[in-house]
Amino acid sequence: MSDLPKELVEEILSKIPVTCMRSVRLTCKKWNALSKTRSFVEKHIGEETSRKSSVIMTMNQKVYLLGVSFKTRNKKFFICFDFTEERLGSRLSFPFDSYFEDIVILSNFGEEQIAVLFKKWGKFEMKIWVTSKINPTTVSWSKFLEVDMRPFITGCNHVFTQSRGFFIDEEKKVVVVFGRHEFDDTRKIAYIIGEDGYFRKVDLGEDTNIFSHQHVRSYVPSSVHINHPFC
Amino acid sequence: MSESNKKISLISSEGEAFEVSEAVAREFEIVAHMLEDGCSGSSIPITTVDSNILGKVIEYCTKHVEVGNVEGNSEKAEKDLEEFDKRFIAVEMNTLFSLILAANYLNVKGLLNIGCQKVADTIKDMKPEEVRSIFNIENDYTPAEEEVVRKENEWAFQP
Repeated sequence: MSDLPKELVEEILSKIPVTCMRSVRLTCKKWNALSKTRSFVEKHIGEETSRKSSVIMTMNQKVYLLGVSFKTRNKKFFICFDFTEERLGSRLSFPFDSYFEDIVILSNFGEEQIAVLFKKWGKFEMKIWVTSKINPTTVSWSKFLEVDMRPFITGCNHVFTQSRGFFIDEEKKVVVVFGRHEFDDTRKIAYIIGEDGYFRKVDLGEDTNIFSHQHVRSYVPSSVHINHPFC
Repeated sequence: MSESNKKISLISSEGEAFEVSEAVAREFEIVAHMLEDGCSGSSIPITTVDSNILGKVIEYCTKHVEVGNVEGNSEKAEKDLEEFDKRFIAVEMNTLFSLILAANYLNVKGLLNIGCQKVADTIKDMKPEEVRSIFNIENDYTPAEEEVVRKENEWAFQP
């Protein structure tokens, strides 16, 4: 192997698209074995899924899709599809600059607004913004919460990696984020984080499939009354 | 003394001193930690990185600090930075590997990321033989074993 240490080789190989891995595996036995290890697969899938979209639907028949610009690889943006007009809106930007390894999760906020959670790779600060105004062509944001998680956790990169959802309690100013235990990635944890150092963990049990993602959505009361025959 | 005016010397493996502003030095996370731990002083030895590579890493960090200081982060500035990154990383493989090693040691995440991405982009469409020659790897497969791996990965279509 070249004089690059194993973790750097891993870093490089994990950036190769899954569909181009044949050459890597054919290079030598070591690389073939490496490409099948748990840590590598997790990283590889992480890289791939971080480029995939997450979707939020709001009550006014609009869908927001998180995307990553392929030309400017680092820049995340999102876009709105308006079902009433059956049209895609313009590219909407977040109130921060994000690299693709950073964590960016969308969620609902109230009936028609959306929220975004942002945590930079290697940093302990978690920030949440909510939209104050959003339509298919413009967006404005206001910060909802900013928490330095340093007093509460020691590993900053792992906890929200697999997370695909969070929800907000506007009144109590807390968020609930679903992630993993910082040292044991088979344990699902709900992190309840609020202002003034409020931080709680709830162990949701074991999930040995470390690649599964936790999807969670805010509950929005339906505007349509459903007459259920058994009620 | 204002922080932005403070100068710090980074000393390469050959003992050459590179004077940079504290803001640039802090882009090296390893240096930032040293400064936070109070073991400051005006010169910091970077013993595992030679002058040529250290100079390049400083160039990268300086540019990124400059652009980061521009208020509003206009789209043009961002485009410029991308162009800069692209040009910066267009070097031959040995230099690229040295840059990756240095970025890893000094903990300059952005540089590490674009460096690794560049290698990945370069080797993704290569034949196994070409990848081996870049990484100095010997082919340890027997023809029969190679055939097995080839079969296993048939789904991973390639041009």
